[in-house]
Amino acid sequence: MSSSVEAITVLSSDGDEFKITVSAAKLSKPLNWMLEDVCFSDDCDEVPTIEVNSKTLVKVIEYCEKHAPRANSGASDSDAEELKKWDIEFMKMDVKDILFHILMAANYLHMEGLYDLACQTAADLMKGMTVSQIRKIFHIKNDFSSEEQEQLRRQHPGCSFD
Amino acid sequence: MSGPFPSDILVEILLRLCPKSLVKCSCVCKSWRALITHRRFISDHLSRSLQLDHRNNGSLFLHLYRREREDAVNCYSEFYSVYLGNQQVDDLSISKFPLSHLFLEKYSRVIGACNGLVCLGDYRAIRGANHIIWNPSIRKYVVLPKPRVILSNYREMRHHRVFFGFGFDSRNDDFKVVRLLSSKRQDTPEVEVYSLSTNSWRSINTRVPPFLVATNVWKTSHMFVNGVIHWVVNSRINGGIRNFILTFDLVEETFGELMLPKLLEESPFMVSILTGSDSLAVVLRKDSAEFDGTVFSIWLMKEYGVVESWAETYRFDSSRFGGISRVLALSSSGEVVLQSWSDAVVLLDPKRESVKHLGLDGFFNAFVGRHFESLYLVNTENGVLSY
Repeated sequence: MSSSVEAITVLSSDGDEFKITVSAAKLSKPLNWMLEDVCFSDDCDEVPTIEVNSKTLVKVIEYCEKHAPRANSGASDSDAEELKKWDIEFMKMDVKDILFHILMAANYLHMEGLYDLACQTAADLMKGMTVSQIRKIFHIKNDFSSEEQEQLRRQHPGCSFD
Repeated sequence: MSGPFPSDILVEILLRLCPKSLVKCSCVCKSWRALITHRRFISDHLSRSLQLDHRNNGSLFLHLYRREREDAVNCYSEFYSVYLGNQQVDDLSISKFPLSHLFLEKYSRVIGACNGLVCLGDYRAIRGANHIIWNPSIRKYVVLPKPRVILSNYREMRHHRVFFGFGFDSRNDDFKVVRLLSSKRQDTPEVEVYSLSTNSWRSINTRVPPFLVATNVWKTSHMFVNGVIHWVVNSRINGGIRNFILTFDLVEETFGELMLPKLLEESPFMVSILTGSDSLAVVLRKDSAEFDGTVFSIWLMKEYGVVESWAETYRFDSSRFGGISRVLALSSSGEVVLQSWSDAVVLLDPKRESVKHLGLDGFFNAFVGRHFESLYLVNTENGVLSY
């Protein structure tokens, strides 16, 4: 196969097939390596598997395809503005999906832009939460004793616990 | 999802939160508390805050007074405010200073602001001056112990001058206050250094370049930049008086001198240091020869430590922009903070020659310094209190 390939096929961890364009795959180092393997190996029957579930992989590919033109060629300020708005819309999902799927995928696929965006969105969402809401979304058990909790409440009177 | 959330990703999220939200997160569980209150995390969080400040065009911390009644002489209220460089002026909110009650004379002054902490003192309290270090972002403060050498009565006070500096020792990750107590009878001042990590004062014996004490301690404000505290002071040379910059290196704990350009050197009492920016900056006030007013000129030392790099960057006279009584500070984005004739705080953009009214009217004696949001003091050790 020659390097004129425009899209490659990958498998999600659930076993579904997805197509990703070459230019979009360049946003991720591991994807890029896979792409090179596919393009330059003689034996290209094997479809690479990405350890990301289908639901998340759809989102990741959507992000890559949107950001690819800008990442590959640079963009004007108005494009950057438009992209920022798109990012905000793109991130309108459940905080648990961001934390446990998008962030993990962005980390695993070395996608700096998506990782930064997801971290910032998660941080912004946490600003409006109480202590017990944060425990709930991160599946954390409260390990403070009742005396320690009383002390924390006294020390931080401005803090919303429940 | 099984197992704990990956800690490297958690750190990346937490670094993007403001100190107030981080205090909340420190109550989630023991491991989060250990992470957020760790020195390393606190200093990484500050580095991020520093980077953001460059994008936000210089944020400012303001401490202000307002006279409560026209007829009352000593009836003041203290306020503070934070101006973020990218903020709409209409959103600027002002809060009552929450710690007035700690000061004997209920009249404190800001010694300095550095890395998110503000140091205040009541210089006139003779029964041991009160000093505090305060983090407005997380509503915590520490009351400093009394210095070793204290003045016991007003008569002694008349014969002494005391002034201070406040900054960060980056080698030891520690905040320090330096206090110089000079008596008229003695050439070298008594120098004491307070360290936040030990919560104590200690005297240091080091050579101090001979200098004359300014007549008014409040005019001897300082600037902390490059790990060094700077004051504009005078010295007597060949019968005349000249200005120079006295320096104190917070890591080495040594004094030094920096020269001013000739024009500034030869204008005693007319040069003040300007806080708030990244570069060493001073303002020169001169009576105008042509009109009844004052000319202000702002000078920057463009390359730190290089005397030849001092340059006048901006000059204006007191009748402009609706009338100016004082230059208060310089923001890190180059805006000049002014106090107007009508006691309002005004931001001047020298490039566009435009002014922005901060909407803080009727305030006076403003201290304006650089603002950061940091987590320092989040640990409850060493007598840190919250309110």
